[in-house]
Amino acid sequence: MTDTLRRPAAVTKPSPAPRRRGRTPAARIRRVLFYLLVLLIAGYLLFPIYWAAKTAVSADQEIYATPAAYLPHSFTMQHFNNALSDPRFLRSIVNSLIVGGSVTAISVLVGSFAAYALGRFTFRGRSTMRYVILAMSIFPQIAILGSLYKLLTATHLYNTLPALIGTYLIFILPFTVWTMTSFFQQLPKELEEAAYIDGASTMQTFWRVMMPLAAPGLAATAILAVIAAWNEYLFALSFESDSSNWTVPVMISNVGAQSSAYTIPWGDQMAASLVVMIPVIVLVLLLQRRIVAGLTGGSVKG
Amino acid sequence: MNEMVRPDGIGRRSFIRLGAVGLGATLLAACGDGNGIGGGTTGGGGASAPALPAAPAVSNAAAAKKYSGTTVVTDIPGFGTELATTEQLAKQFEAETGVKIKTVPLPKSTSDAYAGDQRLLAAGQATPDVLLVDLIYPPALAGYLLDLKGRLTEAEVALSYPNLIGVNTIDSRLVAYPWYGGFGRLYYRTDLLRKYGFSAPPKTWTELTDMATKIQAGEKAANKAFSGYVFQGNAYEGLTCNALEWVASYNGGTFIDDRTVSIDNPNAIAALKLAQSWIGKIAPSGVTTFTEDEAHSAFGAGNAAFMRNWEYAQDLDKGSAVAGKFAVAPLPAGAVAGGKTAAAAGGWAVAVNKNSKSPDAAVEWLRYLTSPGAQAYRAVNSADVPAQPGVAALPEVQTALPALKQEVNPVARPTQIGGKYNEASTVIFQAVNAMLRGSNVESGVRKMAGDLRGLVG
Amino acid sequence: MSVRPPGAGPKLATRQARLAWLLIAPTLAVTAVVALYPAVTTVYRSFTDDTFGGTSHWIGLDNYATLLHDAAFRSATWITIEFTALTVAVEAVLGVILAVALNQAFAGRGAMRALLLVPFAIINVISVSIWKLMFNQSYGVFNDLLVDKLHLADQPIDFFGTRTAALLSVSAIDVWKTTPFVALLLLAGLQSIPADVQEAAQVDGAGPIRRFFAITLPLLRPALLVALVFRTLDALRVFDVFYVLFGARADTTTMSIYIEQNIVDFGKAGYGSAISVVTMLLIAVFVALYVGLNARANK
Repeated sequence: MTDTLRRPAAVTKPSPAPRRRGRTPAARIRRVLFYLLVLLIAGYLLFPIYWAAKTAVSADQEIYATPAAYLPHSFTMQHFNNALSDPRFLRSIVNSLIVGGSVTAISVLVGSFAAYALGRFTFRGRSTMRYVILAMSIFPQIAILGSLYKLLTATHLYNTLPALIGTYLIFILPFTVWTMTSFFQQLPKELEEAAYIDGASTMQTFWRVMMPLAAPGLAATAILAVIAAWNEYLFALSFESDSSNWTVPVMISNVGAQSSAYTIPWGDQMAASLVVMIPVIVLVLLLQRRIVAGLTGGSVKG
Repeated sequence: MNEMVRPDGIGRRSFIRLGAVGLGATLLAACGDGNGIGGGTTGGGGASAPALPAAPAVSNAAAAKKYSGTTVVTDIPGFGTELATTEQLAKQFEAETGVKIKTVPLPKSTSDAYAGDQRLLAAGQATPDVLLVDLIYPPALAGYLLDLKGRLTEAEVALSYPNLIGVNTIDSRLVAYPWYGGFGRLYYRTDLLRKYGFSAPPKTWTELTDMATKIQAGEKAANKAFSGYVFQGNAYEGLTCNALEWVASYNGGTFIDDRTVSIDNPNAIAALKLAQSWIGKIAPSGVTTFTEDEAHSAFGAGNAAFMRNWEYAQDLDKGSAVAGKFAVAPLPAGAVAGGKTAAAAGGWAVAVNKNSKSPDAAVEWLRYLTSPGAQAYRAVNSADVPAQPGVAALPEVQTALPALKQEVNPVARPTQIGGKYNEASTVIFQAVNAMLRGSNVESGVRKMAGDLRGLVG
Repeated sequence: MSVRPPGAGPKLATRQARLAWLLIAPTLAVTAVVALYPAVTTVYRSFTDDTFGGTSHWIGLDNYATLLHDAAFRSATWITIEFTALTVAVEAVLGVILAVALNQAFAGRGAMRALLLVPFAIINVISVSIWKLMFNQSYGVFNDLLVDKLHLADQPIDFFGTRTAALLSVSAIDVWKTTPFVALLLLAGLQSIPADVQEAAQVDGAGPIRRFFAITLPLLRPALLVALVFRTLDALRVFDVFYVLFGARADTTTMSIYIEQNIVDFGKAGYGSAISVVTMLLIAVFVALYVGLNARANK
């Protein structure tokens, strides 16, 4: 029996297309159907985005024109210009990045510790704690808005970005803890046993064995947490009064240099929304590689 | 043999780094803000907006200079040309009086703004010193606002439309001063009226129904999306305005007259029945989800013969499928005895926070913001209908907002019932929306009246 | 599922427990600081007649008694539950399909995975607004397709007219927005399934469908549970989608919208807090249901 730390192939190599069988007509049809499915999925996901993009480069009137214009009739970059030339706009992206990044970093760090304990240890009160932590996210945001406002004004955090970082934890931390707990739970216990046999302490096992293996879960959690923070509107609106503290959703709802209270500047809003999607997509592309990267490294011996 | 090779992936060090980044960013955020001095003063404009002319001189500068050096925190509109013009006014005031103006931009949605006001006033905050409030909110906020009667002269008060002053006077305290207004108007397609042989816009709702039916029948063949009449039918405050216009124009009262619920009368029922009959006939069934924007879009794309909307919709003249092809008229009257045109009165007012630490300076700013000069400036540059008849009669204002040349018969929503107005309005618009979508009018009106009586007490 | 290091005994158990609590402590601290105060004050306020601009008095269970007879609240509860059931069910199925599909190797898979998140990444209000435009009866693209291009209907459909149509339309939008969330969690879960298990099944000659139901699905259960719990929590608290589309329309007022109406529009903070408490209890019931089901399935 080897003493090496054998990591079982906790990798699902993506199911390869069967080699020999790929040539049969049945398999080929299956493949075609599969690609069709992928195309359908892509279309379903993207069509509204295409519509938004089309709106962002057409004059506003085209939106209500009948019959519907599938291609922009009047191509214009004015909307992007309007959105980008508003000095508050770029500031709001920075704010959202700060808030989203901080909340995610804190909740992933703090949450993983808790998840490790809840997922791998037995102790009295474990289930109760899981539900106490989950209980944070049963509050409808609107219900706790007033109390949080009072809390923030009392602690002089009103109209600061940390106000958002703190309050977002209410719904992001339980999610992080629960997701990570389920990923930790799935890992086979042979790994920890092997680590202990090798003389590792609990925390060493945590950092060197559990975390890397839970990387896909971690990355997925981080992505979803950032997006949740990115998207949040109610707290961002209610707890910030200076426009220099506005995050992206609040900024977008106030975009439009020429609009009146009753008009919705569709083109400007769509242009702004598309621009702000870029940092998120970049972040996702970076993080999603982690989902696979964390798995293919490592020593598997024996 | 006991190799514990660290696999790729997140190691402890990079994790700590991540956590440190998180903490660091938080600290950065903590230090980096709170210095939003002059918060939103650089927003909104954008390279595409034309440069605004300078704001008018400050007529009360002499009085205001006494408070030079104090800071007044004020709400301002958060977007569009209104933001730009208000900022210009703020800059002018600062320059001439030395009073510093710190601006707080309002969210686009009125109810979000109201929610914010509610929170800050209930918490006893001292800032903002000057608040912008929609006309329907003073009754609810009255207890938190300064009485302006002792601070503004009678002459100043007399400048505004009396009906607007009335709406802002709660328990004989003038809690807010009218800033700009708006009245419901009828927009109609001049080319289509000519085409189908009508010489003038409709004087009664029945006439409108007939005209719309004929025009729609003719146009629909070529344009499937064409409708006779579009208005605001969604379940929201705008529907209360539309319904008020129907009911009042039919001499059916104003839902709650003074403190008496008056909606359950035959005239009101007739008005609502007529409105119900439009849906699916001259108004698209989707009109029950229309707000101002949808109606504006439908009419602007050339898909409606008539539209009810506020004055802002005249912007369609500046570039839309119907530019130059429409005109504005007073809303029709009900074809009953005592029926006359009725326009719901909308608008915003300026108020001072009772807890303000610098009420005198705040009042001076309020004075300038609502002065005839400022109102004319905003009318010309951001299409805001003045709240003073004197300003509305000025030639440059009438050129900028041609609808003002028409007479209106303004009708106020029943905000006199005080803090319960929102609940009452919700009862009204939910009931009317249900009627528009087909539920029985008589029983709906009976229930509405019962619910309203329960509220008014 | 926990591990005892060798030489384990009662002393080690206590040490483990202490370490566990230490690890949980930061999370509990955060909970206490940000969540406890709002929770306690909301519960307290639900026993008062607190109104905006008025004073607050203790009235015991009066608010709850009123709530029992509140037809508007009942209607709000129903539509919220229906919405939740519909969207969570559809998202679970679609999420699994998406995750399995994206787990296969094919050209452009990385791009598809990034694409997957686009609906979830675009700002809520904006995505709902786009759909509102597309659903519009007069100029929406769906009606244009159905009536003018594909001739599947002869009159433009009012997608929001009746309660049922409105519910289905809202659900379609929400499914579009959040299936990616479920799919991503499940995908991460799929990646953790040991390949040797999959291979063994393949060698056994099990077809892809049987493999899926017999092996993949059971192993996916933990990730699926987490995804469903959080989707249910979110769906029961839904606000944005309904509000942006329908505002304060009576038959599409969800529980959160009703809370907002009472607290903000009507200024009835006390009554609104009671509604909040009942809403939270309802949500807790749903979570308990999941947990119970999961525990039973585990046996």
